[in-house]
Amino acid sequence: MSADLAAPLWLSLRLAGMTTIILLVLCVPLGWLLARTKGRWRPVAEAFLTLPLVLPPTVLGFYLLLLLGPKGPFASLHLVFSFWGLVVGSVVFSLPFVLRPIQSAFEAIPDSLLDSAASLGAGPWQRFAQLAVPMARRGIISAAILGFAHTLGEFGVVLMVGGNIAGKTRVLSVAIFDAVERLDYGTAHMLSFGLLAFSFAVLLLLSLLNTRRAVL
Amino acid sequence: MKALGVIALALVMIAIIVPAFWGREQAGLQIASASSFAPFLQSMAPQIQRTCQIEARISTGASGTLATQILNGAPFDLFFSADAKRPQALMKAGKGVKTRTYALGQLVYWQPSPQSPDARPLALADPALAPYGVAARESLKKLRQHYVIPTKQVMGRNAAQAFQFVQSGAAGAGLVPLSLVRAAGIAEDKYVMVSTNWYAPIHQDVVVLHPSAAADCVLTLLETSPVRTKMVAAGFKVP
Repeated sequence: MSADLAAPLWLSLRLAGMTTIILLVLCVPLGWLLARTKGRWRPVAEAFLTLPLVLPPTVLGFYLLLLLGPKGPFASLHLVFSFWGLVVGSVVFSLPFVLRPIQSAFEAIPDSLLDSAASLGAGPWQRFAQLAVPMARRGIISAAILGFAHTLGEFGVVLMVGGNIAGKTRVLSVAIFDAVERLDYGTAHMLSFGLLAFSFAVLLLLSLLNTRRAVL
Repeated sequence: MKALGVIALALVMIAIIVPAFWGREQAGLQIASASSFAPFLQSMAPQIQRTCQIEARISTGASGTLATQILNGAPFDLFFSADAKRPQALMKAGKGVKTRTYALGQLVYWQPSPQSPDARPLALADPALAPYGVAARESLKKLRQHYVIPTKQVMGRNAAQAFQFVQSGAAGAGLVPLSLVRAAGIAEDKYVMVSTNWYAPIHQDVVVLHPSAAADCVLTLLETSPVRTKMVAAGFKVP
């Protein structure tokens, strides 16, 4: 019974952690770029990058399955029904949840501050790494927590791309689904309550973090 | 203080990243099972562990869904289907090594409480995905001659979902596998066996996808007479 619980939980945490790391690496520069450029392509890019927020997980899962599956262009990577397939799916699915708060945090930095830094001789990289990122720190942390939590609760994409393979792709949400299918309501209750409690803790942390920002 | 935070963060990142690349393949037999057989198979897991020295990792779903996943490369060792058609299709596609019938499914008409036929729908599994749904559809005409059956229908994605529709009260009655009714401990006066003359026999076949000593051990175990007795008690006929 405890193995029933531990394996999906560990897998979920690893998946959410890996997804968060990748998304931070992607979204901090991307958020900066979107916040600082006023090009004509910006609305298009924003709309495109927000798509995963709107589309049902089944649409994403279906296209990922076609792309990554045995007849798709990325078949040789063997991503379907594997941990890395889940990572790819989760990165796409949670992207807007990480990108949006980071972009807003960068947009909140006044231009005048960056201009003064420039006039004092700070180059573009210095302005980004030594001024903008530290100032957007809290936004980046909220983004990370949001991305982590959102990946943890993901179901549709994971089920379509990962299937339901014990120890490999059976994350918490899929384990709950599987337990219900097996009429094993005891396990389903236990996992569901665990996820509920954990999600509440994460959101509480996020809210506390925001309150502190308001006070500062 | 700040250095401590950085070190803690680095440790967390290592804990996440390292297993993703050095993730050892956990030893275990990956088994896909039709939802009608999954509760029984799950109950057999400790005995499989003892006899075959391997952990049975069971994934549940509709036979059609699981077969599609296998065709698309899902890494299962054994697939307990609720029909014979899908294991054969997998053999033809070169995914399977051998098949055999492990059980014959039985259908019951389950009505938890008396009701008027128009009140709540009849639940059955989707015939396109689940063999028990095919049997349900086949027997429906004859059943209506003998019982008052709801006219509206609602389809579950598999037999287990049809079962849950009735269990939750959303559906007033259902055509579901005897195995699920038994697994859930439903009182015997709440359901009737559907005559096996009214639907084509539900041959439930298992297909070996990746042959191994452990896979053979599980199949042999299921054919021993104590296990067969348990299967009959669980609501299956044995071949």
